[in-house]
Amino acid sequence: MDAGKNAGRYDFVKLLIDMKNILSSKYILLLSRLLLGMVFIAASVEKIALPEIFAVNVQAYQILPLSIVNLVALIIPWIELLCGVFLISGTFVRSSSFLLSALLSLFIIMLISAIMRGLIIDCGCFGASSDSKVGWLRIIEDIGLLLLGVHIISFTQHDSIRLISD
Amino acid sequence: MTKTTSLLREIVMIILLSVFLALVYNAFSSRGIPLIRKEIQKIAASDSVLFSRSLRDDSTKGVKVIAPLHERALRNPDSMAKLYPAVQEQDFKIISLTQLKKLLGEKRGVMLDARSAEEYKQGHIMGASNIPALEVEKYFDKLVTIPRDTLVIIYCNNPECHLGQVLADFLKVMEFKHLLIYDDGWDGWTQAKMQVDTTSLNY
Repeated sequence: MDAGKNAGRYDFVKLLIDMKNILSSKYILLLSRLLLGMVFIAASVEKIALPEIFAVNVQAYQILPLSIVNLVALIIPWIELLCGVFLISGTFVRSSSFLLSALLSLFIIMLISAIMRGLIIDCGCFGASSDSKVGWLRIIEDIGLLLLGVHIISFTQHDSIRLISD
Repeated sequence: MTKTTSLLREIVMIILLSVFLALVYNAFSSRGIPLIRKEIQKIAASDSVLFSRSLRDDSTKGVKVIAPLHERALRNPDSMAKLYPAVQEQDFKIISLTQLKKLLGEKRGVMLDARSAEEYKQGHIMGASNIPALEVEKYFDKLVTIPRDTLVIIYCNNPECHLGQVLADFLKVMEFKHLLIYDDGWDGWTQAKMQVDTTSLNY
């Protein structure tokens, strides 16, 4: 239905037209949304429950000034939770995946900077119970999630409150 | 164009909603944190204070001192949790491995491992008991039986690990008077190839 409108935009995909058809399938989109949404809901719950621990994690990156560490540690998990819920429920899908992709890009930059500075710290990715050190694996995870986000942004034409948009 | 502005409007709306929910939840949560973070001061405990007569006497006397203040409140872990954020800005006394060895050699104080139960089971400092800082409320009944003037040495994995400070905060609210943190923690202990214990002590 939108093939004509998008033809110019996705010129480079012409050779991989099958790929595009698969990616734009509503079921694959739903899968991406559910996956990204659930990962972020899971990641946010413990950070919301134990803000002090997330704040310590944020502080350990030594990027933000100390005075705003707590505010960031309080607000970020709520953005993650809301966007996760919106993605799964199918409301504000584009803006939610846009926000999450922006967050993921920030996380990737922070992780790379921590590795470059040789910091041996807890990543804080999923809150306190996940004992995961900062490392390349975390970056690969985040890049994977970022790809999901980009996928959703690229192929979602409009938001729908229905579970599967048509 | 309108699509972009509506996208932007939605993004701003989600952020504002998050800020609102975060602030409201934090205000009412028992584990809320101050909005502006303050520096935690780590102060190295000097040998002269650690090994002075008065502290030595205090810790060996073993007199049970019941905290005079809010004893009733302390019996209830919930109200304890409400007190807890109030003491987050404070000093911590840090000891070195040498000081720790000397204290352990003199069999002084109680050693508490603030890490999770799993980490503790895999190995811990000789004679340490496990009080996982994240579930410290569960151990309140046991902690309350320790005389308040006991010398308590707390450790976690390394200086970046916050669990030791979380436990120290809690004990401070319980009015423990002599708290020390072995800041290099488990990593420092194993790097120095010190003796590792895998048997559990229950408090």
